[in-house]
Amino acid sequence: MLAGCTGDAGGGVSGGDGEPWALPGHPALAGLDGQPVISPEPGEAPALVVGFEDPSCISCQRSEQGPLQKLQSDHVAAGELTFVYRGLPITYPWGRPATQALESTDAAVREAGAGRDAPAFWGLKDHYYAEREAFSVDNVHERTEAYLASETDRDAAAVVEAAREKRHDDQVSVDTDAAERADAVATPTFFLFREGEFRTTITGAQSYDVFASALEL
Amino acid sequence: MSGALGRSLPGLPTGRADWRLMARTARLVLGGPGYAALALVASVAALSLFVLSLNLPLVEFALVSDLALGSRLTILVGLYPFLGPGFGVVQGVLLLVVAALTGVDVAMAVYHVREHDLSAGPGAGSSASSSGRSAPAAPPAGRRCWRACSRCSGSGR
Repeated sequence: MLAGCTGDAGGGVSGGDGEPWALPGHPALAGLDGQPVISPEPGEAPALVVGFEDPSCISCQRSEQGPLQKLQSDHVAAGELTFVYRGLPITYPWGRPATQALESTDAAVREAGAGRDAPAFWGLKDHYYAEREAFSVDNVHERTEAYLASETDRDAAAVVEAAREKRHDDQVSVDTDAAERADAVATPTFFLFREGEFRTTITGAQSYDVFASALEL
Repeated sequence: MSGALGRSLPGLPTGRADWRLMARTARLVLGGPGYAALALVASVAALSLFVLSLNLPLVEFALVSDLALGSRLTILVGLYPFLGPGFGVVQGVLLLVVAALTGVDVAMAVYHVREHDLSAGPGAGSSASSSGRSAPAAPPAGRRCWRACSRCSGSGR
């Protein structure tokens, strides 16, 4: 259950003073309750970043290995910021099966009763970026299975089978539909919110200072 | 090779002499402080137009929202190559080269128009026709003729 999540139209309501706030009716937030989140839950921390990313995208890799890591270590851990990942596989062909594998991993995590911030999903995402140059359409499933088998306690074969069969493609479509409605046409695109108010959109890799300045962190 | 190319592309700079002339002309035009400043301003404008257009919502937010001046500058400056992570090294260098060439081009075009007294008025040359290979006219009265100008240095080809 999202704290203060309305998901409907209307202006944002700021709780202020660290109180939970209602999510504004922004298209980037459509279907947010099904998305992987680095805690706290959306609306509980003062700031919220919703990122549309593609595992195969070099600018997403640059963002992940720069500002997002610092945002996570400095602000997510302190309860000041929530980060939501949404897939938008539009760069290279292997981005689509990788995004499907991420969704299948997230589904497996949830079926096992783990939270939306369970490490299997986020670890796999980090692995895609760390090894981005090594992936292709031909090896993405094999390399995904190898990673999940060696680094997580998930049933790697079952997750990859689900990804091959595109069982969670509807979740990918939820994200791509939200991206289209929010006019996110490139990756990465980040939508920044603070205390119920939509602040701005950041496209491409930008520095930690740009995020921190826009979110007043 | 360049001769055959030159014959197939008449009017375009294809030979070594063409490139030497262009480089010499650019160097002499930019030797003037005013034209050098114009080239710099045009380069910065061209670079800004490109990088800011990639993040218009963020630029608008930086300009109109209730942010401290330092935060506004941090956001805007971070959009430029090598000042933020938006561009890789190769992309950044290429962007700077294109911006610099744009600045040089603008300075040379302005030099050409000013020094040749080009205008759209009757009896005057036009910037459109002067870009062709017509014979150079005499320097206008009262104008300083730069050595880069082909009217002073012969055909230059």
